[in-house]
Amino acid sequence: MAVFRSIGRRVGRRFVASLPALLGVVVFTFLLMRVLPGDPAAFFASGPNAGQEEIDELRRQLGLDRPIPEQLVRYLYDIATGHLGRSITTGQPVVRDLAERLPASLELSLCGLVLALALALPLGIIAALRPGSPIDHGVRFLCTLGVCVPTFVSGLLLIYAFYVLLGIAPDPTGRLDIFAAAPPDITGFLMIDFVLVGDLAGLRAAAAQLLLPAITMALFVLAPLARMTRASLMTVLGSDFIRTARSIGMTPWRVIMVYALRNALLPVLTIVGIVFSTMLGANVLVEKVFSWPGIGSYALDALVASDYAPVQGFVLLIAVLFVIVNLTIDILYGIADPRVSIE
Amino acid sequence: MNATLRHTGWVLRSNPVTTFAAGGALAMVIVAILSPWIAPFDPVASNVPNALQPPSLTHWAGTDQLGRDIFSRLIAAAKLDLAIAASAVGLSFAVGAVIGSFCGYRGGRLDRAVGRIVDVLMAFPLFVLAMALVAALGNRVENIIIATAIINLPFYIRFARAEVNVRRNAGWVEAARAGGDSHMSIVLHFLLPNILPTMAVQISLNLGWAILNAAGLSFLGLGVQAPTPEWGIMVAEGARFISTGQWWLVTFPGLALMLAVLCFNLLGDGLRDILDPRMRT
Amino acid sequence: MSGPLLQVEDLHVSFSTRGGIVEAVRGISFSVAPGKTLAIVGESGSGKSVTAYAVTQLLDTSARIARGQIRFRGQDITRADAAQMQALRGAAVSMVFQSPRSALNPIRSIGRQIMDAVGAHHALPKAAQRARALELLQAVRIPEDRFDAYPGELSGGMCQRVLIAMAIAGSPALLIADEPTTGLDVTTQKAVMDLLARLIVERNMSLILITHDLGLAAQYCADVAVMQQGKMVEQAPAAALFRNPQHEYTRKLVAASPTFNSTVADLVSAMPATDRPGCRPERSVERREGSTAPLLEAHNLIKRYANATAVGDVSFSLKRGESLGVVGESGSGKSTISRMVCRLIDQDGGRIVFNGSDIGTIPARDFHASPLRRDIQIVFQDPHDSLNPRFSAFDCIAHPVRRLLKLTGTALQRRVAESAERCGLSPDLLPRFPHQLSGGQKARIGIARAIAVEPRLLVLDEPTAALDVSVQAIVLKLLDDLRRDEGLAFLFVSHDLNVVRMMCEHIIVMRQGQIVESGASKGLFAAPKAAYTRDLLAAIPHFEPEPVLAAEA
Repeated sequence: MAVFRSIGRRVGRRFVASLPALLGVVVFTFLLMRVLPGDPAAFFASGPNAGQEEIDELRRQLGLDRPIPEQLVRYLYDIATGHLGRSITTGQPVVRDLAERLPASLELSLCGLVLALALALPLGIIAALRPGSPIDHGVRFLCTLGVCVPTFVSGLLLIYAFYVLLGIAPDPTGRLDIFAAAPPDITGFLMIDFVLVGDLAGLRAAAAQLLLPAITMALFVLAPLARMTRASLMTVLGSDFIRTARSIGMTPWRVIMVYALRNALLPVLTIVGIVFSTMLGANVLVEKVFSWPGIGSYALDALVASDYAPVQGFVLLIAVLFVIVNLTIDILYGIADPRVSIE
Repeated sequence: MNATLRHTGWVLRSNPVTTFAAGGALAMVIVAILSPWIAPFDPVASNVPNALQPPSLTHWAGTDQLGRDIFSRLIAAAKLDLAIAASAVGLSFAVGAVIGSFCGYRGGRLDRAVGRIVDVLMAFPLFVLAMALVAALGNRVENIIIATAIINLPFYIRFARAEVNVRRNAGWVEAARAGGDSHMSIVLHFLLPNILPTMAVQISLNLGWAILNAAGLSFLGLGVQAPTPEWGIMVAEGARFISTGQWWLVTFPGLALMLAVLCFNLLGDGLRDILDPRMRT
Repeated sequence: MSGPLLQVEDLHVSFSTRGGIVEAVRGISFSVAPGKTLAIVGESGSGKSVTAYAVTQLLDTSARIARGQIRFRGQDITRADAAQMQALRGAAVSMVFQSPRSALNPIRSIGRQIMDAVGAHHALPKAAQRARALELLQAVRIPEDRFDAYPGELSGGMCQRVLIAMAIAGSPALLIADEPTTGLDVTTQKAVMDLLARLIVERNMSLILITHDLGLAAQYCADVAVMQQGKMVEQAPAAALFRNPQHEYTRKLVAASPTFNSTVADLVSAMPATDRPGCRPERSVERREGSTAPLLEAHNLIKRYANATAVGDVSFSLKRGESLGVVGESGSGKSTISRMVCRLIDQDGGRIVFNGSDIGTIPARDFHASPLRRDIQIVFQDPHDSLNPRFSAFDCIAHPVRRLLKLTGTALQRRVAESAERCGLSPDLLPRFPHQLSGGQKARIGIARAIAVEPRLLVLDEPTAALDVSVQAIVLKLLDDLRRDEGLAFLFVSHDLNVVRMMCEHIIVMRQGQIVESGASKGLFAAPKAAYTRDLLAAIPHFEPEPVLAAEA
């Protein structure tokens, strides 16, 4: 129990420590958006011939005529009370837009991560156990290739191969075929919702739609995960305590399972956190390629349209997700590594 | 000097993959520099009747929706993409190595604070940061360079910090102080030259990453604008034609990107192996 | 059962490296009878550890037994397969390793690790494993409440006890200890070795002790085998071997190991002059009397780190041409003192007066520009670590000369060459880089660099701790000669009492940042006043077996 108490303390400390980072992100994005060259008031006025009065009116409505510090304070107050403003393009509150789209992005990223882990861990482990073997070289080659192909290219090539040439993948736009019926919105995660209502055909359709973008995501992060697994397991296998374990006559299987793997997965855990963060960023590219209605494509559209509020909301959401991911990793790390709870 | 040359020759001979990568990278740089003279067609001249031709002997990589020769555009784009990546990495290396070395050497509270900030930055989705930066600063080449440099910066600071940190208590650093060197001179004359080889590895790996980043930004329409030939834009333009089967519009710029990144990554890996065989991953 | 427990015949072990095949062990034979103890002694690179790992087949993957035979209880195990060896390890042959901290799994509690060792050969229920692990903890004198502790929470000595508990868990007949106490303090070393010796006798095991320390070998093993460059040069009962070494190398090794009454000249007495360039051939000359004026005075020095006091209120003084030894175990604050005196770190309190001027008032960060910088130089512990890997030997020595004496051109070259020659470095070594030089050569460069600016005080921070005894002997002789010729004053920091006694007229003994005892070295060794000093002296392993045998008889 002491372990959990100390993990709790650690997580608490980390949470408090990440608050300034969050605040920094908020202020940073606010300032960034204020120096954006495009003038949203001019952009959203009725047309290119809109009069100065009309623009000024819009400006006043949006609060853009106040001094910047005042705008910042108002903005912070709004965030604290859960108001992220209204998107000019969709006309909806940003919070609602983001809440609608977040499950799509998370579903995609998580599936990609799970897929990547399911491939990377065994590959990395086999490569580390048989260094110099054909499998090792194969994994090395795959990893080198994996980091070289940009997600937007691999996504397009996957579409070409599986949709255009082979015709086995569904039309690569959106989360669901336009002819399929969407499930009731329970969690927002399509696959979970289909399972909840027992619609297996729907589940299949949603999974088929998700497969290509998820593979694209997975390919993108496969390399760092497999490399880290291999390197870390190699280091552990070469360390003194593995020699000790062998010297007391432990079976090779137990040496690997009990002594090597658990120690080797600690650095991998850290990398998983960083990888997931990277995926949140790469989401934007993959979502654009597959017309995936997630937060990334939402932010991108807003960015192109000089629509401040959604972009700020998006960056803030990413920052919050990032804090959550890191805290989760911290908790897992605390459970896996007793040294953390000692100090 | 002769001995150095002989050693380099030996290193290249015993690492064929690295030699290949170094050759590839060098060839790409040469092609990029000579691009105005060696491109078979004008990369921006459109020729609509000739649009969307598949690869042929005249048009090695086919033509795009405006009938422009894709191969010539690829060569022209190499110059821009490599220049962006090299300037961005150079900028962040120069700034990052100096900040990182001084923090790592000095230690203490400032160093810990910098370390924490860098850790947070590194875990933050940096591509989002780059998007926001380019959007804020404007769609110009300089701004892509600045944005890419800024998101590369944490890596260099962290790397230089770590490398200096393991050396700051080395006997030869203390010996240099006993030998009359100031702290400043130790960082500049002793530590920086010592971490340079490992930094070279990082530079090579980061060049690849920077290329991907810049291309990703322009793919989203945030970087360089059409009709400028640029690999990311070419992929974005070709994306519209993938579902109708005109694969060459996406594939060739994709391949160019891949080759460029591959060469720099292999070169980096090779350098790392040469410098430290134990780090082989 | 009669016959040897372990018999090794004509063993050859080779490594395949980038530079080709390297023979680490070249045809050695030895045997160990049940209940007997054998020490395999040698300097680094002698192949002693490789021999141990060859027996248990825990060699690196690049190593291979090229020839020879290893028999255990008459059974040939030279080419035993993985399953056979696994059955043997722990249950018949066990090992105790160097650097105990890293030899334990950092994220598994020590109790669990001992249970793993218990469970490796007996399929016992968890509760029985636990009970047995607790017994073993008790046997190695670790309190039961440390069962759930992790290696990071224990001292090095404690970790070594845990390793011993794991090694004896399967009741093996043979225990191989590979440098089990290297890196541990001398008092901890004694405790661990005494425990090991007692367990060997109690459980009727055989022991092979791999060590570089002749004293340790003599004190804990009945037989001693000496290895040099992969060959066994001599093998004899301990008493006979040390009293009357036969082989030239053994003679050299025995002479080079400092004892309670050896002098610096004795250490190199068995070496041909060509082996020790730079050292004067004649026996030591009259010791030059130090003048009465103190060169260095330290008053009430204090240094605190975040939550501990490294040095608390320490005062001492040192005359011109005199040598003061600072002795202590790890954490005693001796290295901190050397760095404060050298103005590499600031003190938190107290004064440092050098030649009449209060240098303690100059912040360490500005001292590099002080005219006194050249007067106080330092030689570091690890000769490899103290040379910039990107500087040639010449640059290493030349750099401080350029900075502090502002010499350039031929004047610089002449000064470097002189200094190198004084330290017995031949000129053709100067263009080389550190990785192309041996440990002894690197140590000489470190010394040449320090004396090149003609300092008046030389701080020596464990200058020979990382060197083999024969190299240590030469370096000590060189330092001693330098001091006499140049009239240098030494502040000699070391953990090795024997070395300090030979090198210094005065000694201070430190423990946990405090001076425990101080005085002239002769008196301090003959009649130590503080209990801690007595413990320290008693813990030094020694190989003059006569008095011990006499006491027992």
